[in-house]
Amino acid sequence: MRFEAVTRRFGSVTAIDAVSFELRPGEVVGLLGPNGAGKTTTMRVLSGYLQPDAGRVVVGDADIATDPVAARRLIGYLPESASPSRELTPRSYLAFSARLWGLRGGARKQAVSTALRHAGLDAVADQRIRSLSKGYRQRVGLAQALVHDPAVLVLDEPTSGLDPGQVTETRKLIARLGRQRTVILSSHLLSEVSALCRRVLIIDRGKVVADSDIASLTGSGGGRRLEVRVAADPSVVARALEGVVGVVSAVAGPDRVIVRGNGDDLADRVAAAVTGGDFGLVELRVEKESLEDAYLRLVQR
Amino acid sequence: MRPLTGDRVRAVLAIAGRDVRTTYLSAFGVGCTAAFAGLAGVVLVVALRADQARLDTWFAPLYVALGLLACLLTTRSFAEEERSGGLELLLTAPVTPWQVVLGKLLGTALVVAVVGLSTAACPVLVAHLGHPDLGPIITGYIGVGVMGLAFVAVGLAVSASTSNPLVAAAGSAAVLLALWLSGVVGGGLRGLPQFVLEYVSPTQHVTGFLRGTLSVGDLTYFASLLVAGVGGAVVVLGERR
Repeated sequence: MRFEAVTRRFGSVTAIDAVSFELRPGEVVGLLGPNGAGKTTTMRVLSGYLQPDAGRVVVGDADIATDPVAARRLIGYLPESASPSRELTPRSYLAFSARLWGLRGGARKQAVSTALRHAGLDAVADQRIRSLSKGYRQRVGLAQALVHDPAVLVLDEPTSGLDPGQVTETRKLIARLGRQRTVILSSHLLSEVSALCRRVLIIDRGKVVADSDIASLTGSGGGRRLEVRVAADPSVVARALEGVVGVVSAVAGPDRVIVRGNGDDLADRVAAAVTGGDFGLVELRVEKESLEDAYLRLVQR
Repeated sequence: MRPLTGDRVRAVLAIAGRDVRTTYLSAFGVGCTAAFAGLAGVVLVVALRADQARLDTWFAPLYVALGLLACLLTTRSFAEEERSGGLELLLTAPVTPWQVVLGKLLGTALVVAVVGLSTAACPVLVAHLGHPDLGPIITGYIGVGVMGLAFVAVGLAVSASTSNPLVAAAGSAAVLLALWLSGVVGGGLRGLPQFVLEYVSPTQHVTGFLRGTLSVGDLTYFASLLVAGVGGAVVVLGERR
């Protein structure tokens, strides 16, 4: 699946601007970004729900603009607010979805029972969807995305609104699905992306600001996280450190300041600023950047 | 529009079947049908109490109620489905906007057909009481079908353009009311404006059905509304992408 310089506007607002990336077979990719960054627009363009204003999306050999029906056959899509027909049962709703995908007779029955099993819905397959918990309704959404056995799964905030137990179950399900197919999922939860994905795309203000393996993003991205214990008032020190070259943020805690920034000599510059300001440097610890640190560094700069 | 063959027809039928099922699995569908049948019964009883078993005066208020029914039913087609998030799922399936709109049209038309059939006891009762002319009964029901399809198509176009069910219902009612009132306004004019305004009003085109006659002009009028509504809904769905 290739996303080539895709731009999508809503009136005068550019939601995504010349976004490009490629999804390779068998990888699970996380799409991260703050609210309004363009994540949902990206997912909707990927799914074929929205057409790009410029650029193109290619799935397999099919261009989603010129051959949308063929492209969509390769994609399973779970929108952020999926709400399948509430009057139907999961089994009858999945049978309806399978009909739309052109499955017939025995193949349709097989596809429905496989999707029910994969999504863990066997126990509630014949209950009305309206009577199911939010977690189960989310699973019905996942099952409809799976019913035609797509090569690519596009999941927009798949654990949004679920309780912790349901989140764990849904993550296990996604991890299992990711062994056989390409998955791209958007999430606000960095821990979720860390647990499920090897690669992340970070999008901010409609542009891709990072497209990298999590390991290389957090290891050699140039970002640093420093813990600076000081004798002076940490809030005063934090304000002073915000002016140091390379510092992206300086947040005061009870007895220390957490500094995020860039550059190999960041620790030297921060130490010089603390000692130069006579703030009483007690301890300075350089830590490896976590995904959260990398994310904050990239979307705050 | 690609030719409707094989899988494409099956997708249209799947959408229509799903919509009929969800309508009648909810209190909304059963309530609409019961209310329409009840109205038909009340209108007949009122006519019989006045010693009049004229079915033309029985069909006339049903045609007005049919317009309201089309407004209510079509709010679920797109506006309600979009609000609930179901439309996004439907539009990311391998179906074209034409298939979606035709499926919705067929599904809602089937509900209108069930609603129409629910009134069948009334003419049967009149036939039992006397010897009514079958012609106006048959053309009256043809009118229910033809007008129902046309009104539903108009409602689909309005419903496709909003995610708010209330706006969809009010918008459809406003369009149908405007069409109806154009005949009243046209009646006070002369020449071409009068001809045009009276022609676009459904009032001009239902009298034939009530009198037991079918004219190509009336059928063409409702077919035009149908095509305009379906085409409008397809264009609106395409634009939203």
